[in-house]
Amino acid sequence: MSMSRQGWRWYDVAAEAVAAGALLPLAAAIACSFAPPGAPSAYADWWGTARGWEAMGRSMGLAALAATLAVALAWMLAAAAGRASTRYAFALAGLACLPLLVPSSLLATAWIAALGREGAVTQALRPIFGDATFSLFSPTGAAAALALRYFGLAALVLVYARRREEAHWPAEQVFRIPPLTRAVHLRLRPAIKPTVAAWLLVALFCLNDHIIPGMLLVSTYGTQVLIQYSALFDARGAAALAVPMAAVAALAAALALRLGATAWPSADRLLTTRRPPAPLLGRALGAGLAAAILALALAVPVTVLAYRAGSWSALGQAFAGARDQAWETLQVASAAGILCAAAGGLLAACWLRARRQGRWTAVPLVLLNLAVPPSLLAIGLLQLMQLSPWDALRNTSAGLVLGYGARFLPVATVVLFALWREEPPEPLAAARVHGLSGYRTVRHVLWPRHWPALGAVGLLAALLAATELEVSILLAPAGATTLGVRLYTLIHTAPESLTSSLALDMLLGVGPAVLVLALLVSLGRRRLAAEAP
Amino acid sequence: MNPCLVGHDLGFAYGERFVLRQARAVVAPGRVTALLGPSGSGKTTLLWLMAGLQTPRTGRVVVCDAPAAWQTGRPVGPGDRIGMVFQTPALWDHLTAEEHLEIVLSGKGLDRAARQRRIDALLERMHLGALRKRLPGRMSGGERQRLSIARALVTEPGWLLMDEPLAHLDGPARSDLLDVLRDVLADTRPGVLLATHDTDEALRLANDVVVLLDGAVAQAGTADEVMLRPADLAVARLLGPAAEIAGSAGGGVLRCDGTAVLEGLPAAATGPRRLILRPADLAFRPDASGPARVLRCERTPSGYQLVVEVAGARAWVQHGGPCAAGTVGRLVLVGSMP
Repeated sequence: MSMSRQGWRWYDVAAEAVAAGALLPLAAAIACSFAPPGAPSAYADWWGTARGWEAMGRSMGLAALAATLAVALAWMLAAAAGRASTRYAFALAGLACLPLLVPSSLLATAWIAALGREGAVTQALRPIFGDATFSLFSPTGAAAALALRYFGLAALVLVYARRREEAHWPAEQVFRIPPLTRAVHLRLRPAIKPTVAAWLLVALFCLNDHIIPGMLLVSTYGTQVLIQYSALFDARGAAALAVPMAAVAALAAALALRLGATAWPSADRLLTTRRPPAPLLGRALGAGLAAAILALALAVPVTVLAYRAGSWSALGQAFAGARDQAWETLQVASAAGILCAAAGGLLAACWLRARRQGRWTAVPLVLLNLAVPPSLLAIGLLQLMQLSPWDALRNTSAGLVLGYGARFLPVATVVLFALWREEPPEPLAAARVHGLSGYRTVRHVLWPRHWPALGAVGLLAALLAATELEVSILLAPAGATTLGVRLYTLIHTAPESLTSSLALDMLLGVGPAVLVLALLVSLGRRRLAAEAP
Repeated sequence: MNPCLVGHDLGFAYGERFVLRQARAVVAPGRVTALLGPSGSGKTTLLWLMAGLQTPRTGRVVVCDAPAAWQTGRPVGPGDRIGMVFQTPALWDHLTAEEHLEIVLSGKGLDRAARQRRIDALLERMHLGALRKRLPGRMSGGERQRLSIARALVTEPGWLLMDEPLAHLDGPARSDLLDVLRDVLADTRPGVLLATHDTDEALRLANDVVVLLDGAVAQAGTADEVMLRPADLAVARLLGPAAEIAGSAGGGVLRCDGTAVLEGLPAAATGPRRLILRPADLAFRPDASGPARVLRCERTPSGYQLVVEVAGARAWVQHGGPCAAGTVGRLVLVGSMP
């Protein structure tokens, strides 16, 4: 992380190798999608007819609708909570991200329990609306469920953007900008890029989530990929359907990153003096509306799950029936977390070095793994596992861990990169200048400053792995599924009380992990803030 | 009726920690008042209170003996507008230079053509004409600061509050902007309150100086008064190197414990005296029997400065040429007696 121009070191080479390794499944999937010489093209099968285009149109339409709903909710949350205080807005936006840390199948289960054909809310409404009662099993219902899972991401982006705008309140007040001019030029205009970036980000995640739509009986390309691979045993066809979607997703991700990067040019240090509080009534209304939005996203599904579960003993029984899956989930998620933190730390540090030295690096390309459909990565890994020596990993938990690693390594890398980029390089430079050995530098300079951040990204990656479904469905070894997959497979066959109880068990497991995560984030911020110049 | 902008007995606290106590600042129309003090002395807080951006715990801000218009929120006329230059440029990152001025001018009762004329003239004046379509992120530090000043001046405010406007600029950029600023202020003649920790900047721009130390006003007066007759050693040290020599005056000499530590005093000066002396007030005459000893000789932009020890005190003396450390001599008062 030195500022000086330096040559390659062994860890730079190692980082490039890890980045290339992380991209290998994607490359294998793309290679697999192309027909061997002489065979009919899988691309022609999908994209030469209406089938592929219909799947793409349906998926993109659903993602667009979900993203629009999510951004609208996020706007309301950011504006309403922002009236109370910026800190409150950040806290609520953080809470709104909690659905990202539980499996899609859990949320779908909860919404079905609430608004499905036999859902608690649906049954309550049926005497009033009769056959016209709203049902979740429709594209609109699926889009709403998707929106409620992902709107926290948009809320975080928008709250951050609003904070940036509102940091200019002294200038607005001193220069007495008229309300209309302020609304158009100082509020709306700077919010356009962050809003579009948030929309693209949410659309990207919705596009790659076929679990919620699938459980609500809305078929997307992700469902087709799964059917093509698992039911029709056609890896080539599945990959040929997923690769163009991956290209669309990569483009959307690049555009979102570009908009996000240009939305907040760092021309000026933010004024840190807080805006005087709004009138009490306005703050109370804002806080109440924001809390209501959050309650809709979090409290409704949890309450319905609790109602459907029936009793505490049902939770114990459901857990007893899923103890093996819980143990398997804990093991593979922990391994994935450790893998992502270690490799992500290496990649982030070397990415930063390359950037400061002004040289090219392949590390940023690993972000593609987060943008492309997860099933494509899994198919790529399965193709690799047909070759020696990778075949030893086939149908093992290690293979599943590698799948999680490929999928969530970009999260760890980008979070650590963003964190370390803001850090002054002097402490490390001082260690070098004063001749500390590599071991002492790590032991006394790097580790005390960075262990909370590494722990946080490791835990985040573990949580994401524990709640992941798409990769798990394709890569989990026979007879050893994860909790999320069990929930997904039980939903249409098991009694609702069992699925609700199992979902609540998972929530109870995720809760403490999220608290530890918040603690590590807070500790990491305090450590770096204490050493900021 | 007092036509000045006055902050009366202003006090402000963060929680229970007072950062400003009973501070009084007066800005006369067409004059520049420098608010001089070290970092953390309460300059920015006082400026924000004067601008109505924070509410004082005690005191009030008045113009013409009435509460300032921007504090009460009533509609403002052209005469009681304020402009402000913040410590950081505080620009709107998504707006071009021209849009910054256009938005500040909107709703101020000017038609489009008049607005455009004023914007064009000010941008040219601030050497920003070629950058009118540029975003702040693509400007240098000096250009951003010039834009911040142009934004503050575009409404032709009656009062201009500036918080360390040159603090983040390097030598040449600072000097250029200081020249531009002095010319613009001479033409537009707003009442200016300039917060700065830089004595040079304060003395070059200001007519009046208010010295803030630890959240309280240590001295207020014209720039000459404060420079020539600092209230105490702390104020004097803020303005540059200064020594305090105490003793008994008589026969043109100041004696301390029987030793003649300073010569050249007016014959009329008698009795106990405590003098605050600047380098230009003193001369060093080498003399092997003298009470003063040169500790070191420092080069300054205008020549040399000696650090001299006399009767246990340390004094700074302007000197015509280099002088070896250890040289012994006498100190002579060359300026008027403070």
